[in-house]
Amino acid sequence: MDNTIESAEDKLSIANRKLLFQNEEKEKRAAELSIANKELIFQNEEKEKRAAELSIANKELIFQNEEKEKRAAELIIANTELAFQNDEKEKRAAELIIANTELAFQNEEKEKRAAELIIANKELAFQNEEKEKRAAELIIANKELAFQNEEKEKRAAELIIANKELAFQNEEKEKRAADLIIANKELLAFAYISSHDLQEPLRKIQTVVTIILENENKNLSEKGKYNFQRMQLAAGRMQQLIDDLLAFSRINTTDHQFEKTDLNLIIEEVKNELRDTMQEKHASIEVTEICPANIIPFQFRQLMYNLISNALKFSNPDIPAHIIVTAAL
Amino acid sequence: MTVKHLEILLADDDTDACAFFEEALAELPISTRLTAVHDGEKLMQLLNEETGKLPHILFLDLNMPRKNGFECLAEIKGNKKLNQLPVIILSTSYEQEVINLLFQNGAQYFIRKPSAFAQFKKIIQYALMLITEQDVTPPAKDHFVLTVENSQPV
Repeated sequence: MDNTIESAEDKLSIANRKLLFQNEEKEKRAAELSIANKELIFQNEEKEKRAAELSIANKELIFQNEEKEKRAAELIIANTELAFQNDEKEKRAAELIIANTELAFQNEEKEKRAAELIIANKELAFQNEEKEKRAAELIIANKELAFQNEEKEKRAAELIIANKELAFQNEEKEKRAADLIIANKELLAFAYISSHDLQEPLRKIQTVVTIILENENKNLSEKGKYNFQRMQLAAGRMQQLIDDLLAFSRINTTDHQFEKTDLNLIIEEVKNELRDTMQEKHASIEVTEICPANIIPFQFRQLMYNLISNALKFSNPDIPAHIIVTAAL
Repeated sequence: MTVKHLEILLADDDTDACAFFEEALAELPISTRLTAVHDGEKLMQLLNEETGKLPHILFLDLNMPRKNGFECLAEIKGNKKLNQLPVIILSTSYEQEVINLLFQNGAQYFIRKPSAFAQFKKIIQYALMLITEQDVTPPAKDHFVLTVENSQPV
């Protein structure tokens, strides 16, 4: 029996301790509730403060609400105004759309024009370049010309010197020419005088030959007669030469003076001069439509003489020559 | 003017020419007497002699010393006493200007001396015939120059 007492003692000790512990816990809990109470008292106080504050805040909100209603009324008025303004703006917008369309069209036109101008600009730019090239070329050409000009001036200066030289030479030549003209005139005068003087003795020789042939014919041998004929032919030839020489010297010594001359007179004189030959050739001269002309009479007469005498000389001997002289201007 | 006998005066400085002339006259069937002078001054002296009878015809050469044929012709034609004297020019050369001038100055005829003696005789005879058979009137210009061909009796 000891164990059962001991166990009961133990069981009471344990229940004692448990109760002690529970007591202690309940005391702790009471303390905590006291603290919580205090806290709740504090919280209540706080909530009362807060309610007072909320009441104030409420009053404030009521005021604010009133203010907001006033503001709303104002906003309605403002809205109406804005609606009107909106209408106006829509009208304006419609106008602007039209104006815009117009501007868009103008814009297109301007773009086209701009495109054209761009092309034109390019063209001008190209032309400008070309002109610049040309200008550059011209500058080069100008330099070349300036150079050539200088060369030419040099050449001109040389030519002036050469010209002076030539002028001098020319003067000398003119002097020489004048001398030659004088010498020539003297020679022609000499030719004229000498040939004129030569005619006389020649004519005498010819006359004497004919006298001998006529009067002494029977005393001459055939050989002698033949030789006399040869002498006559030679004398005749010489006479022709002298006549030609005279005619030539006359052409150059006569003054070359133009005169209004009746060509009929000239031809008449030539006909008289050629009468012998014309009769021999049974020739006739027909003069038609002859007018006065401004001529050097001597030279023109010589010309007509030469033409007509040549015509007679080379005419067909079997046909009577017929020479026609006409004039035309 | 019809005369049987002709007094002929010849002015030529060339004695051969005078001899030919005399020879030609001698062979012509015309009664003539020839007087010859050999320069222009002698000619004018002879013509101006108060007592001297004028010849029927003067044959005048152009190229003569002292006074040439042109001067003599001008003096004769400018002198009232002498200007009826027929003057026939004898020349070797044929120049139209000279011929025109002589015609203007009153010469009767112009003879270019032919080189053949027979022709010379013929032309002298023709000239003498013209002078004796015609009045001393200025000839037409185209008959002023006597040539052998136109010296056939017309």
